[in-house]
Amino acid sequence: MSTGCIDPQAGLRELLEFSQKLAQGLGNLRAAAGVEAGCSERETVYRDGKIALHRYRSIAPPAGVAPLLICFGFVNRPWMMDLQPDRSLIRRLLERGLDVYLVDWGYPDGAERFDDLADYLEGYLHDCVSHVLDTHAIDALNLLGVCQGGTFSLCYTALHPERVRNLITMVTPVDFHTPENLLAKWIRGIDVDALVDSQGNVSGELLNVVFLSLMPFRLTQQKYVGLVDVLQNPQQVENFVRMEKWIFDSPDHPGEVFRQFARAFFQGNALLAGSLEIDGRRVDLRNITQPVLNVFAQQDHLVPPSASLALGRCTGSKDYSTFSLDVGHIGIYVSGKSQRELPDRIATWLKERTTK
Amino acid sequence: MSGAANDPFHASFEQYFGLARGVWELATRALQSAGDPAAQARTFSEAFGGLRGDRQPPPPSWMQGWAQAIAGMPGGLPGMVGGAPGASWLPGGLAWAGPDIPALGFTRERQEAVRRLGTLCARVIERQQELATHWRAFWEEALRALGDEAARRIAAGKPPGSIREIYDLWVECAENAWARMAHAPAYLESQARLVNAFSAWRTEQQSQMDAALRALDLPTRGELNSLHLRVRRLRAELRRLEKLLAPPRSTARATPRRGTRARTRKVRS
Repeated sequence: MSTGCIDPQAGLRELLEFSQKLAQGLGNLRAAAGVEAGCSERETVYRDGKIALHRYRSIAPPAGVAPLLICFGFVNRPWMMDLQPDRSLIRRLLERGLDVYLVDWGYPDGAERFDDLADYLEGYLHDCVSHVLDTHAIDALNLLGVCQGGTFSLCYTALHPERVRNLITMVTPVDFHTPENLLAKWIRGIDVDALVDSQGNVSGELLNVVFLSLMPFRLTQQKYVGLVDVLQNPQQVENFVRMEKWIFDSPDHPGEVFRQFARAFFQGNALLAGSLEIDGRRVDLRNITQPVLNVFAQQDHLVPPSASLALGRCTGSKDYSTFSLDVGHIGIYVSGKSQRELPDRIATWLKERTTK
Repeated sequence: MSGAANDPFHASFEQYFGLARGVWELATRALQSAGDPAAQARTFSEAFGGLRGDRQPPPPSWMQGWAQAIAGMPGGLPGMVGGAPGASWLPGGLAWAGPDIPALGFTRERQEAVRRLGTLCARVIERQQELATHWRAFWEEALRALGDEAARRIAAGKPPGSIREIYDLWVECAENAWARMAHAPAYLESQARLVNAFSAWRTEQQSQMDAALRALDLPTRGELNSLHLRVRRLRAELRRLEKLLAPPRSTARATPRRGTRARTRKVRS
């Protein structure tokens, strides 16, 4: 295509420079191949099949608040919360004296294909909560739900409000039918029963393709062109590769959970409709009367702010507040801005509600 | 009549009938020259050599069907009875007669199954093509947007100054065009139809694979599912009983729960 605006010689120079940067940076890329993730010391304190409850070792004097249990979703592995020393929400929280637990769902396989939301919430998550409560001899803990794990946490809190002292939701979808929610629109016309019956567990690979398809040119091309700009910097290359590893380390979604989640939330918008039942009990967000902090990302293309903000309209909490950052869905976990501001906000918010 | 002439079944029948008539004629002529073996041989040779035009052998699909039938049948009839590995010979069956002819004979259920698979596969391809029309429209729109945006910048005296800048502009235009398409009801419907068609095809594949596994006395997905469901029901029952037996939470906190946990772990692993 003739642009009429680029000097051909300058264009050639640009291509040459790009090639040189690529060639010179390949060594750094090669060196980053074995990069590892996860940086904070932890101990597995409870295990049930593939599900593990980890407790992170404290690194600061206790803040005097109830332990914080982090509940992640199935879509990716939870180690995004503790990626590396300078990008670890968990480490920042530990530095502020919080006692942090994390539920790890593991990699579900064929044995879990019929496990449904009741098994995960009333079974596994409930047992993990019980373990923490018993360990600390307390009645209620602080719960932090992330993304899909946030939706799980909302359901759990609505069903067992007496066990959750404070609830924090992070990039959590509540209203699945807002106009920006492309993922929900894509799922709405799909015969979820036929999909799950034919797939069993829904593969992480398939889900990744779907997520990439939301912004295919940025996520499958431009990002890698941009990588060439930082190839000279081994640290940045390592960060990039570590992030890649996280993004594509995608467990399969247990079939029944997917079926229920897609039908109830994506198709039926069940949290707003009040139509979800788990183990025969209706999930009513008005049962959530404890303090709620709703954290969302302003540039989130996966969970648009409008999807998260709906929570304010439907909980029964009189102490509801929001916190947002001008970052995307991933940036909320790892961006410098998030690392500087979010842990402080969470720790302060919890401390304020402990002394009240 | 023209409809009948275009009907593949009708055409095949005509060809087959022509061939049979030719064979009958040459056999009659050969018999008329009885007593002269040389004349008989000549007659047969000329007669078969002259089978051309409207007396050509049956159409390739018909021939192919039988060739596949013969080549694909491991162990002949026992192979057909024994199981699906021999099923590859089936598509040829009566396919030449048209898709609306019901499957006949001993293997009719298998023929029907293979037809179902073919129909579902064809539907997937059809849906893919339908979706591809949206993609074609998307590419056109994205390229047009790039051209318009570049022209707008040039007119404003701020032309893209580098290849990278043009590339970034392309990504921006493409993403915008993609988002417009991806949110459009027509695209949503088309994409969902493809996914649904694919699910139906896959379900049929699994069903036939299960039939093959059953024939070999190997575990099928259906059997595994039944077992998984039984285990799950047992676990649910166990959980219900554990809840019934558990002491109230205030007492529970005073009691070490290690034993209970260990039991739970063992059962659920």
